[in-house]
Amino acid sequence: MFKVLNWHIKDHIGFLEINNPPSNPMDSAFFEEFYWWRTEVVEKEDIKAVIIHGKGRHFSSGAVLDDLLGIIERSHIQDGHTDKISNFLNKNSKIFYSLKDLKIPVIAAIRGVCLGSAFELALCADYIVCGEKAVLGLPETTFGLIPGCTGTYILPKLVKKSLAIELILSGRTFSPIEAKKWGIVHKVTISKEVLNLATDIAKKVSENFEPEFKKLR
Amino acid sequence: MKQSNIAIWERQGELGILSISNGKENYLNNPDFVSLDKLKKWTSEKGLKGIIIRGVGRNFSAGADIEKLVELAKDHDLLKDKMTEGKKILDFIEDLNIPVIAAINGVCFGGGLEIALACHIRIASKTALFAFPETNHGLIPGLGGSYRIIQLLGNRAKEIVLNGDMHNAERAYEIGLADHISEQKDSFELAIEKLKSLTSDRSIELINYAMQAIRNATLLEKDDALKIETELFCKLAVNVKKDQ
Repeated sequence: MFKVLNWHIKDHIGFLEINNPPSNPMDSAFFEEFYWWRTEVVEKEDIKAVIIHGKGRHFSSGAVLDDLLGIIERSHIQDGHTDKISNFLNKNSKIFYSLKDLKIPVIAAIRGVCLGSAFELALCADYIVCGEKAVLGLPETTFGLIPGCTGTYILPKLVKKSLAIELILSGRTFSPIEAKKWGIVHKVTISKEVLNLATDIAKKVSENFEPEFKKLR
Repeated sequence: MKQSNIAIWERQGELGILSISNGKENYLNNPDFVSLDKLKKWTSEKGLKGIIIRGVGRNFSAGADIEKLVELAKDHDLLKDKMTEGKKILDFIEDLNIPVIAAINGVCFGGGLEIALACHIRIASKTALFAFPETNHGLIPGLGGSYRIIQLLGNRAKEIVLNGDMHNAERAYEIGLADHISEQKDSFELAIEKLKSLTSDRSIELINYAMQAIRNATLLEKDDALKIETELFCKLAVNVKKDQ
C-alpha cells in the first residue's frame, strides 16, 4: 500500500515503520503517505495502540531540507510571498499533531538518530521509548531555520520555557538520558530491546486507556 | 556605558549587559529600577542578540528596602503608579524577542527575584540565595512574581511564596528555579558562554522568530501557534535559499 511507510498489525497493535533506510529521511512521499495513513487508514483498524519506528538502525534524520527549501523557493518566486506554501506545509504540522486526536496511545520507539521533524513527530506521540545510543534534537537553528512542524509549540509544553529556548536556539543534540531527566523520554533501554519494550508498553498502557492522558497542559 | 535610575547598560559585541547598581545589596528603592523608555531604546540598538541582567558586585539584588517601601506607601497613588511601572518593565523584559539571562550571584530576594523570574533563563552562582521575604512583612510579591513563579514551578512555588524561606542555589536548581549552577564564583562567565551558544552565528531575524514561536506556545491557541510557526519557517527558508 505504501512506499516509504510500512504498516502492519500484530496482536491488535499497529506498527508504522518509516522505511527509507539507512537514515529514513522524511521526503515529500513520506508526508503524503503519512497524511493518507492518518486520514484514511489508522482509525479504520481494529487496534488498541500504535507504535511508530524507523527501519534499521535509525528512527529518522528528519525532513529532507533541500526538497523543502526548493519547494518554498519556487512558491515564493511564483507568488511573491510565502502564504500559499505556508498554508500547504501547515498541513504537515496539523497531521503530526493530530496523533493527539487518536483515541488510542501512540508510542514512538526510537533507535539511532531522531532529529528535526522526526523528533517533532516523536513529541506528538504520547510515550517515547528510546535506545540508549539514540541522538535526539531540533537542530534547525544551526541551518538558519526554526522547527517548523510543531516543535516550537509542543516542546515548551513538555519542558519549562527556559529549556525549550535553550534547546531550540542552540540546536544542540542531546541523549536519551538527558531527555528522560527532562520528562520528554519515558523509557531508555538497550537498542535491540526498543521495539520489544515499546510493544510491552503498548499492551500495558492500552488497557483502561483514557484519551484524557493525551492532552498537553 | 549608559545609566538610568540604578541600572547600567553596556554592550559586549552582540550582547547587552544590564547591571543593577545600588550599593552593596543593590536595593531596589523604587520598582522602576530602570526607565522603561531607556530600556526600550537600549534593547532596540542595532545588532543586539541577547541580554544578561546581573547585579554589580557580590549580590544580584536584595529587593525593596523595606523602610523606603513603607515610606513610599504613604502616598498610595504614587506607590500604585510605581508598581504599575515596575510591572510594565518586567513584562517588557519577558516579552523581548531575544534571550535574556539572569546571572545571579549572592542574594536574589523579593523584587530582585521578580526581575530574575522575568528573564528567560536563570544562571546562579553556587553561593546564590533566593527568597520572596514579602510574606514576612505582611506583603506578597507585587510585580507579577507570584504569577510567574507558579507558571514556572507549579505547586512547589507555594513553599517559596508562602513561607518566605531562603533557598540556596542547589535547592533552587533542584526545584527548577535556577536553570544552571556556575562552578565559578561569578555566574557572569557562564551566562556569557550560554548566551553566545544561543546567539552566535544566528541572524537576529532567526532569534526573533524562534523566541516569538516559543512564546506563542503559551499565548496562542494550538491552530494559530502552528500556523505562525510554519509561516516563520517559510520566511527563514527563503533567506537560507538566497544565501546558498
